[in-house]
Amino acid sequence: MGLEEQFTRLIQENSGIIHKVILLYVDDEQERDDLYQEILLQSWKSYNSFRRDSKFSTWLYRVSLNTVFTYNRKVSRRLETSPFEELEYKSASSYDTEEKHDQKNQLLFLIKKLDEVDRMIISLHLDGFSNKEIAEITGLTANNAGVKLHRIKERLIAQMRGEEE
Amino acid sequence: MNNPLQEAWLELQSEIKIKPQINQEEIMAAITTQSKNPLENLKKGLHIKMNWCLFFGTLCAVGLLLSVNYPQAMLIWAIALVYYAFGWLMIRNHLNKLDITLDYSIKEVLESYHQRVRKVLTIEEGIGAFMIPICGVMGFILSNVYGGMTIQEMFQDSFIVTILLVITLVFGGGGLLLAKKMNRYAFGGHLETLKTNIDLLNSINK
Repeated sequence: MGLEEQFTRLIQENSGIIHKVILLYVDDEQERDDLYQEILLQSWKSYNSFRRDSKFSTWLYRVSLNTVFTYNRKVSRRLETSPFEELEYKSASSYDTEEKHDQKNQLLFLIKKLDEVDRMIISLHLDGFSNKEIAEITGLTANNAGVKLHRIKERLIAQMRGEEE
Repeated sequence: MNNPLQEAWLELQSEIKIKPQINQEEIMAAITTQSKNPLENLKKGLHIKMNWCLFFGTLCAVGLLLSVNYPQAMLIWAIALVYYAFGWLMIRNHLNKLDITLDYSIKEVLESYHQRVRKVLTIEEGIGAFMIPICGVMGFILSNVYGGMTIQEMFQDSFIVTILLVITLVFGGGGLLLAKKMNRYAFGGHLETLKTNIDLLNSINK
């Protein structure tokens, strides 16, 4: 299998990672499209150095986050109020129950209110990465990543339960 | 403890999963496009400065060759040639360092990216700002040298010294301030965001 074909297949299998990263960091529709392309381009440029000792998903997460962090993004609107509707992803499924829909939007809203580093740590955790993998991706120590993660989770859960503003 | 978060996250995941699959043509088209990373703009600016250095350097080399009968003029041409050659080399050296691979840890990438961009901007501002004043000073001195004046005589004439200082300060100082302002406008916000995220990562690792 050629390199391009191999890369295409891996991207197709893991494209959800790119969508997710963009969703968490960019609000503007046009900017989302540009960043999607930029991530694909940067991933391709770095693909030769992809060492198969880590999973492709871990590697892609790292490249996607680095691309987003080093891209000159428009300044996001500060989310002080709770316009959940504005945060809805355009492909929102119509079969959502009201409750699930609210819970999901609330989580998205609360995550987007976090600073960019906390946003990265919690999304990696929710995607099933271990503290060691989070440390590997972010450059933090596993211990510090774990402590930080614990605090973020506590805060988010309290906020979701309406215990904290 | 994780459950409400995990549940909501899975909901979000399921929505992302139903997004239409990207096809091979779209991927191929994306990987052949021009990058929109701010580094590309910076690189373009550096290429332009390198071309100017090359242009002025060539001009100096020609002037040097044509001035074999004027040792003092040769000295001026040579000094300017060294400046442009040095500028060209410095920019080229830093241009190569801007090819940053993004598959290292976020902290490593952000730190090296921030550091390199700042360094390149400083070099670009410095070399760019004095490109024009050096031309002006050189032109002024050379016109007097070819007119029969020696460099020593020129530096004893307070009027000429004042003119040289004004050229250097107005064009050099002004150019530097303008370059800094333009770079702050183009990259200031970007660098600030990078620094914020680096500080956040460092504060966690303390």
